Amino acid sequence: MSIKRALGVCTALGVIASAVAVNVQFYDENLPGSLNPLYAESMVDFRAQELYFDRLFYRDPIDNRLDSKIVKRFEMAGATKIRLFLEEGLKWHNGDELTADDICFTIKAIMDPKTTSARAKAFRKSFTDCQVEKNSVAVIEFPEVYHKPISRLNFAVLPKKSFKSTAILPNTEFSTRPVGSGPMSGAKSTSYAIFKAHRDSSHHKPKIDKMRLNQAQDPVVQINTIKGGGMHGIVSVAPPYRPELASSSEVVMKTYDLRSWWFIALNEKNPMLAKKEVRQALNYLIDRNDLREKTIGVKKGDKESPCELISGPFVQSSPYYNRGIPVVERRYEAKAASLLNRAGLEKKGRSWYYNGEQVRLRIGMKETLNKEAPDLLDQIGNQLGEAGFDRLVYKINAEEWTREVISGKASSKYDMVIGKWSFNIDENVNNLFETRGKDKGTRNIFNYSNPEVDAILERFNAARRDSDAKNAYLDLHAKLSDELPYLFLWKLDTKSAWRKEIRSNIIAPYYYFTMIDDWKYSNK
Amino acid sequence: MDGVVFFGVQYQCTIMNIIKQSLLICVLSVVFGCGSSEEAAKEEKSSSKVEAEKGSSFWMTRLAPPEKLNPFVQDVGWQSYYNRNFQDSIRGAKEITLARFHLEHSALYRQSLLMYAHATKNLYTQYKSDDDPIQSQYFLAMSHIFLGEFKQGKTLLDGLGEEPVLNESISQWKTWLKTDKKAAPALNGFFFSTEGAGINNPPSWNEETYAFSLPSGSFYEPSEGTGLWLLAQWHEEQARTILKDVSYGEEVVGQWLSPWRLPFEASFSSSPTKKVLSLADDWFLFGFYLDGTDLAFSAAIPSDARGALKEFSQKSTLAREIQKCVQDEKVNPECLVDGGMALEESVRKENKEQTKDIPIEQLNAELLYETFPSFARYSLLRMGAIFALHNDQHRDSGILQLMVREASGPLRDPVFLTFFSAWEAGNNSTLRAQDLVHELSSEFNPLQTARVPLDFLHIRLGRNAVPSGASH
Repeated sequence: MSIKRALGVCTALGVIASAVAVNVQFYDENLPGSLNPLYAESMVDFRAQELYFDRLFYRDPIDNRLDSKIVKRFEMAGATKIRLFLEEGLKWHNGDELTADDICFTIKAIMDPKTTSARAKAFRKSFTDCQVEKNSVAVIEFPEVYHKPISRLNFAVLPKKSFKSTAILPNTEFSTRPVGSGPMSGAKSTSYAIFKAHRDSSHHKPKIDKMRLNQAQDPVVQINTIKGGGMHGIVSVAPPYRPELASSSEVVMKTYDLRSWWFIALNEKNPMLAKKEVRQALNYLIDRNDLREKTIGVKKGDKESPCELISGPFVQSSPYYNRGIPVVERRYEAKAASLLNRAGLEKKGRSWYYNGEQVRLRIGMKETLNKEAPDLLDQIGNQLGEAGFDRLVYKINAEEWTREVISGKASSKYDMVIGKWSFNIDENVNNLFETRGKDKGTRNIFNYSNPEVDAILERFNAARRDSDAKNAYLDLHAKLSDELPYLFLWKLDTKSAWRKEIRSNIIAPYYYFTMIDDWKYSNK
Repeated sequence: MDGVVFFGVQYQCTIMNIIKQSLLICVLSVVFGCGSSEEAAKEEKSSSKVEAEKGSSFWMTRLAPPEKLNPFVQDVGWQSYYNRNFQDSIRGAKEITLARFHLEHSALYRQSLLMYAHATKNLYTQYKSDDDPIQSQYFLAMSHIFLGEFKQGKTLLDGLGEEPVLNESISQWKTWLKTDKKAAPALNGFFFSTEGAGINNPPSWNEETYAFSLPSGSFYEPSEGTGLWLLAQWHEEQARTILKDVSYGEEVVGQWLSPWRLPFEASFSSSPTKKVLSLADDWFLFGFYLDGTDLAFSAAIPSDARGALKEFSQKSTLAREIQKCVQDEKVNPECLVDGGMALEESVRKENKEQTKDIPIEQLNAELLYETFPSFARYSLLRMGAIFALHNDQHRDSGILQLMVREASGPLRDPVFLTFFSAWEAGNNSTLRAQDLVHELSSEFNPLQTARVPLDFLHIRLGRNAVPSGASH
């Protein structure tokens, strides 16, 4: 090799080698609401928090093995106690040592009744105590013998020094500028969230230096930006645009495994919607095939469809789905009219009237859903309009959705809301439909209440056998398809797109970024 | 922030850093790099030459010219197969093509039974409950047997008391377990019937489950997995019947089914031949063996993965690509991804070269320049996954399997997806397996039987998890 050529090669290599701070940018549907893992509400929250925090134990998305970045080994210290030995050299993002004290602090925060988090409440029954034996040894006590106790320890670890007490409240600085131990440190602003590699600890060595989460734009903008190289990834690609990206040689489509289904919740505080016949009529007036085709681009009968219609609160692949309940795929105008007449509505001209007044429906939709199913809100509005209902449509931003809609405070604002629920392996839907009360019905959007439904949900809770649990939910499906607190729409598969420079990017079901340490950028 | 932006990537650098690192790399490359780059270039050139010559034997390139492909395009069986209408493909196919389709069905039902066995075993061992009905012992016993765990199966069957509904089934299995197991079990019943079935008409599937009354008033409703074994055998028999007068008939059946055999078959199945069979294109079209060498390699992997790799790395392109990616006796999945893309590109180039003088309107450009090359890429990923699994690289196999799962259209192979679902069930991972079984069951109705224990496992895992419920 000549000296001249060698110098040329060396310079080129030097430039490449100097490029150490790669900033991987991606779109997610929204900014995270809270970065405090106790207050994760949305899937965006879960995904972002997976970067900032370590869960004590997590499932490997490849082989489903329970693993930990923090715990070196564990042993049972009695039938209901487990002793955890932490790895050495663990550090928080601020350089403090992560110790057994933090593990026990987290558990005590979860157990503290003044910690108002729903996530904490879910975990609360799993523990009775935590003791620090040594700096790196903690003993956790459970209320009963669990089959695989470490599977109960999939909560994010919090830094004791960042809090004044174990009573952790939602709206503190920690929720925007968290101190975690996860693979990335960072914070969120009003327009993006940033992540910076946390390599000062023994347990993380992410290969990507920086990441930036940007709020999803119009799907066309997202597609063009990723194809042009301006962005590296899109967490959820709207279905109509998937073929275009799939055929690009610059981008790789990847499945994001998530059990999600879409719905229209109906407000029974509206006297008209309190009538079952009206709800059933609306069910017959929604043409799901047409909606699916116009907003998602999927026609009836399409093979490998990402979108499958449903008739109840489960996806069709779920064992709880009652296959005996058919989907109402298209409009049945005559049936609907008959039901509406029976309910006391009257059609004058092209419009429906109730108690002498023209019916007007206020329809809201979670704003971010428009990026997955463009124009869905307008299409539903149009269908109801054609059927003779006046309507007002609203896009609901993430904050209002969390603060008002989910918490049952939107009954005076909307008659119908369009949303989506996502599930991990636990497909428990009790808190969506049970009568709202202390720790019950916590996601009951319009405070729906039906004693027969409550009884079925209680049967599910009380079931000892899997078949009894399954039968309870099969009955629930049947009941809800008749009572219709929701009009059930469809399940929609989620696909991500990442530029081919992003390598080894395994996407974990539900949590997404669990394996971020292995992700790398390579422009080879 | 200081830096330079290239295509959305922000680089932080200082001039001094560039100079310092350049000098270091300069020294290193003079000492170590420059000399070897020429040798690497020579090796790459000769490897490419070999690739180019071998490439002409791949079905994706051999069938690129319209006159070679047209007979298949016009065949009803192949049209159905390409359009993923697998039951219609059996109805419409004949001769060798039909034999292949039957073997694919046989493979699929074997893997669905493997999924059933894994899910059942995990449900009643790792996740057993005091409330599991006594009859669950029979299903657990059967699963142990299919997994080759004969002693455990026998112990459970011997421990079962009188179960009138199950007695006949138990008796048949016990009879077989008493033999030397050098012959496949001769079974009948188990909800399976071939009445009305024929060579182009698979048996109707009985989705019935058992129903054992429980003290609570409800029922325990497990499904009978043995029917899947009988169905897999039936499809295999159809293939053998079609191939009975073909010289390589027994050999191709042995090779084809080898990667998909159930563990208990090791007791009575003979090892497949390692001969490279001279096979017609019906065996390869829209499949994942580039040519006969890959089929032979694939068949040899389950009994001795490393031995097979050593033996076939000079003959089979896929074996050679895998060999290139082996370090310290482990195959590197990342390297295989790159290898797959290179293979895809080489097939694309070859097809463009072969068809350059044919007017574009006479070609199916997407098929020849996109779909066919993609088959080459996925062939390598699949073979890599199977090799890794038998090379004690469980997790690496999973990484590759997940990539293959992303295939779509004609590349989306139900046999491999069922293989993946079985692997998932073995890992107590139910979500992806359920979604795939649901996707495939409209074409392969018997999968509804295989999913029953998977569903119960899913319910048990979900109810034992810390409640997470719905998120928005």
